[in-house]
Amino acid sequence: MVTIDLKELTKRFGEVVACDDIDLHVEDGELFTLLGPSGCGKTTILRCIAGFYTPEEGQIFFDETNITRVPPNNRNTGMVFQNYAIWPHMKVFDNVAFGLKIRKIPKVTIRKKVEDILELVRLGGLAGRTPFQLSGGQQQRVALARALVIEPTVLLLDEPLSNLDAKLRLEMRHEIKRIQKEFGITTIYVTHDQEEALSISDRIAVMQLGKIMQVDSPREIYEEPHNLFVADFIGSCTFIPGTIKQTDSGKPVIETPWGLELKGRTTSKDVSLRKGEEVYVAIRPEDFKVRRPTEPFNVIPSTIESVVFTGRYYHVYADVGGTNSVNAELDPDTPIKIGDKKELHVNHSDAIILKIEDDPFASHIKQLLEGKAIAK
Amino acid sequence: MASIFSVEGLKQRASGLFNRTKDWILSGRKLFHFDYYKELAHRYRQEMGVFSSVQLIAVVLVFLFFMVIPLFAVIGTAFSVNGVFDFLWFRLIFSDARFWPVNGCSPQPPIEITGDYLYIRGVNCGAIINSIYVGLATTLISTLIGVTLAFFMARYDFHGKSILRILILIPILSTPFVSAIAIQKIFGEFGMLNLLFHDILRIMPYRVIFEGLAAVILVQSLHFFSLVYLSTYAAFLAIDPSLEEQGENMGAKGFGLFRKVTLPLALPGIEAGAILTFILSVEDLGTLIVYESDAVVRRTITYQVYSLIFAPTGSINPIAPALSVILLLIAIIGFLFIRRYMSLRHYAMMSKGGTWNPRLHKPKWWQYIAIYGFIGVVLFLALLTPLGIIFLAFSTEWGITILPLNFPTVANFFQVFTDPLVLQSIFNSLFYSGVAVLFIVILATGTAYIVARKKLPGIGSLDLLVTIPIALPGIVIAMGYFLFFVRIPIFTTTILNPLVTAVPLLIMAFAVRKFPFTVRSTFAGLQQTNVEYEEAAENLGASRARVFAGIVIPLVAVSVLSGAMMSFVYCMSEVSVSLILGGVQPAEAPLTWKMADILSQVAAGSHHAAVLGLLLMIIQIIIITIVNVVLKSRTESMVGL
Ligand SMILES: Nc1ncnc2c1ncn2[C@@H]1O[C@H](COP(=O)(O)OP(=O)(O)O)[C@@H](O)[C@H]1O
Ligand SMILES: [Mg+2]
Repeated sequence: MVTIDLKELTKRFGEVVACDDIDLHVEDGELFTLLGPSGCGKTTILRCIAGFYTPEEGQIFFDETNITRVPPNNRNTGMVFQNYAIWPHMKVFDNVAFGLKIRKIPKVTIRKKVEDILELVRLGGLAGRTPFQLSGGQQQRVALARALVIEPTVLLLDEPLSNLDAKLRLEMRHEIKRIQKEFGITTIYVTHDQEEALSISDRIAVMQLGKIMQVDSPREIYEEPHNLFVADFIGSCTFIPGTIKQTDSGKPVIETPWGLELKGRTTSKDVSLRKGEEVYVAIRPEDFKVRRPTEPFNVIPSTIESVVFTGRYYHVYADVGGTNSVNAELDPDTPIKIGDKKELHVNHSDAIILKIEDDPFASHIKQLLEGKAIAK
Repeated sequence: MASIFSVEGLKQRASGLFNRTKDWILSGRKLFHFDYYKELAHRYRQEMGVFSSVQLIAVVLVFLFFMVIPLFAVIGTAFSVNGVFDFLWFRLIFSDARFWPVNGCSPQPPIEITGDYLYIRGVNCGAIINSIYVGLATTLISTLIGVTLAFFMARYDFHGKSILRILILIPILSTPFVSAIAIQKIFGEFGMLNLLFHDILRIMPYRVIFEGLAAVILVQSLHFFSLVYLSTYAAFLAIDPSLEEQGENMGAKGFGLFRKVTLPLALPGIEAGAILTFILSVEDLGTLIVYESDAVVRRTITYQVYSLIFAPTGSINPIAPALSVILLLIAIIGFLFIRRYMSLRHYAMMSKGGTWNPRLHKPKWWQYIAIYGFIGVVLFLALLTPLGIIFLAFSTEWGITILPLNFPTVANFFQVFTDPLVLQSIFNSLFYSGVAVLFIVILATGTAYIVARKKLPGIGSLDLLVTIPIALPGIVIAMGYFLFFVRIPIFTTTILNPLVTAVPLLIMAFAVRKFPFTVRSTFAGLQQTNVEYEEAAENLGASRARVFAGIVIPLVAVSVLSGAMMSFVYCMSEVSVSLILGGVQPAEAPLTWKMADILSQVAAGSHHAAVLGLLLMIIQIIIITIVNVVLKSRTESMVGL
């Protein structure tokens, strides 16, 4: 199998820069996900790799081979389209056999291979069906089988589960992962669904506006967001504004506008904070706790504004400092009701300090917070 | 969406044109950079591949040789005297009372009552104004009838609708040429209508006589209203019902809703049908041939051009090319208007995605009366044509009685089908149309594919090139062939010289002229077919040719087929080029030429011609039924847009 490298890849559509100076390395056999909101350029990258778009700048490598200008039919990629693109005028068998026929493989071998792959995607016995007789999930499997049967060097999946209902989606997630590992095939998986990305991927590239914001393992993407966009896009962080008060000993302290001090941490080593610098502190809902008396630091006095009991936790919005709201999931052991004054606590390792400087997304967060403040 | 029927709309359009021209000139600067061409060459190579390139070159060559260059030969001849640029021919035309009302129009009143005769004849202002007058009047009448009909059909649910839907298509099944033969009889001085409604029932106080241009307008309107109907009906069906509901919520009701919401939304479709009617009316030669004994009918551009070409020797009156250019100009201006609308309409359709259930009302009792009354009258008039043809074909005399004499008899069939020249002409038409459609299918599929799928500069021009034939008067193309293939020495001894044999040129003329029906139908089919089907095949390693043959063709086969069948129908009933090129050697002449020949030569001409007209109609009915019922075809192939 192969590694995939994108070098300074840029693709424009008129004024729109659909993907902007992308550098990416995908390991051999890895399930690599492009994750981002709709329109951020995921499909564009995938189609550049498949050869349907020619980038304006940059190169694409499969191992050491530059394939940037190789036509799509000579790239030996297997692509699964968002709407599956199962040919309606062919039976399931002919759909799957198409790529093999083009490779002039003997009929007997084709029959064997098609049967095997249909078995693998759990469609054994359906070879004689027409596409109209298949459910969405089955069409999805045919598309996957059709792409895999040619033993492509890379597998490209464009939002393969977005047309399925929720239950089937969960099931197919496991299925795709299983098949991908079984083949050991280098795979690029496109989705806008963060949960899907986190659960299926070896590594994830989070994208926004044609740029890659962070590339990491799911766990790191979740726990170590490098910038405001990633923190905001993954999960639902609360952002608290503040200025740096102290920077020593790797445990920087920030002070919020209403005088609250919070100890936090940064997520990458090469971040250097200056005293007095403005930052945001990002905290995930599940990292808020009701304070226990033994905890002297990071105590956040708050007033509960709204509360929903979900069974596993209380989902609350609580006012802090009179101008900000936090979004927290609190332990259901002690009852909580609107108007309660609660002291919240957050571990210093769960308070992630993110720089505002040079982050284009900061203004967006600022607007968001201001909007909320005005609403109060 | 501003209409061309309003001052605002025209103003808007003019400023749009100005801005586009400005952009075009500014963007022209890049043409001076070498890199632009390098990039362009790369993109062509990337997108087209060998396969599409071959198709493209073939199409362009065919259209170049059998349409563009002959047209330029006409234009060149029109603007020159002995090879030197000159407006002489135009000066002659505009100072000649035959063509331009230098001494004013004819003093004969357009409508006149003498005794118990009511003459409806229209104006007579020289060929140029006459042609435009016929075009405008036909368009107006066809549009009024067609739009009303479409509205009833699209918005009301009533008994007998499904049968009506098919019956309404009948007028479009014949050509005006065939209709005219019947209508001339039925509306004659002692024709069926006058005898029935004036003499016997005494409903009409006068004996109504249609003469001159009015007769032409009558024939054409009874034919073309179904064209406007088709295009409007499609437009009504395409309107998002929620838009109308919104209008209702805001208080619009009944006719107010129709005028303020429905009509504006359907306007592009209506106008496209109307303008197409105008073009086809202006270029129609068949009706004029049937009425050629009327001196005013002869005074139309199309007829004048026709009469100024003497096919057997290929000699052309030098004024004819200039007249052709005027005809061409009128038609092309109309066509460019349609093109603006069609692109807009396609856009509107794409933005909506799926189809919906149109809103259908149950009519109230008085609406029932209005609907049935209106449709009854229209249908009666429309069905007169096939009825008249049947009466004529199965009788030997039909002049002064309501029903024909000696009816029914098959004597005409015997005489017609034992004439070897007639049989030859039927065979010729089938053969020419068949070969032409073969050409069309091979070339149009590839062309539609390139136009629909390849995003390259110049594709718009290709689209224009292959759809414009619908606006090109056949008579001008025929003249172009004479000017180009007869007069250029390298062709004189080849089979492309119509004086040597007319066969190749007839076939190519059919192919070029009826190309749009197939190309538009295929294009529409491709637009409804997801590109990803093709990409999936390419992704699996299929070459471009393989994608085209294995995926594209099967997926749009139905569209291609229905388009091809319509092309065939229209080839069979083609008149203008057939009449001119057919005149060179009678043995090579197609069916429509033979019909015109019979009409003018044989004593019982109209009865014999009706037999052939009936044959033509039967072929057309069979094919259109297949296209409609079996293939569930779309209007694109019927209208050719
Ligand atoms: N064929 C195209 N023509 C013009 N613009 C395009 C085309 N494809 C994508 N774009 C634009 O490029 C941007 C990225 O699109 P895409 O890669 O499809 O996003 P995603 O798959 O992440 O939703 C969008 O702004 C989109 O509008
Ligand atoms: Mg996408």
